[in-house]
Amino acid sequence: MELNQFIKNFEELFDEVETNSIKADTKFRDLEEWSSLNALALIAMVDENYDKKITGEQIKNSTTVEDLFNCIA
Amino acid sequence: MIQKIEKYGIRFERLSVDNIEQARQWRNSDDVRLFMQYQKIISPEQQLQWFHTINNENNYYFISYYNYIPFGVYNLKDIDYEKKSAEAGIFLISKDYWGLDWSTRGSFLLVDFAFNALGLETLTAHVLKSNHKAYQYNKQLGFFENKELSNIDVYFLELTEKHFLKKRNLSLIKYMEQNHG
Repeated sequence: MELNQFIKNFEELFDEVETNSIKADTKFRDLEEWSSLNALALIAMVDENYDKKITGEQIKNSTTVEDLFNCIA
Repeated sequence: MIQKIEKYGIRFERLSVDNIEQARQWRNSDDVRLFMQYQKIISPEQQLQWFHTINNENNYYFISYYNYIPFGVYNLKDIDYEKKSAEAGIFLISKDYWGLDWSTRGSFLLVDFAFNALGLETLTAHVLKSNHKAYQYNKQLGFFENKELSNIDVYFLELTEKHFLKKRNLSLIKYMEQNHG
């Protein structure tokens, strides 16, 4: 499983984020568009693309995009 | 009047006289009160008086639960069955629940209840312009601003079923129907 692909998939959850602006160390909660809707979209994306489960609690305990990736790596 | 609804892994229970004191304490906490238009502390007497004005078929106030944990209060108020409209509102009882999928599951349940169970066609919402996160969230759900009704402090937002049933929301609905979290 590759971090860069995960970041791309993560970026696609947003409507207004500039392409390639999200990095591994991006604090996702600081993104203006981040909301509980993105959290649900992330859960669905992880389930559908990686056949893994990430929970709301794991998202809550993560700070960066890489932290999210590590939940499923 | 409908007392309970359950879908998408979320249970809504209609606010009753038995839990209005709990709801009052949540509403008065800084995590909630400071993001509302009305920011004064609400007394038990005011709460009871208010409850008697909303305990009818024109208003639905629900406490929301995820895995038996209460996390928010969701409402449709001032329901107009002729105009098929209502004002929607949400508050999460603690900042601990911000950014979890639970609140979006609840929002989708509230909208589903409004459009499908009650047959409404338009939902409105008021969001403080200082509450940028709430504005962004409502936009993601499909709400759009009615600039004629917004004022210097408050966004007046509207949601129709057509705007709600956009591609991403449809795929999330499908996901939630199959996965309750």
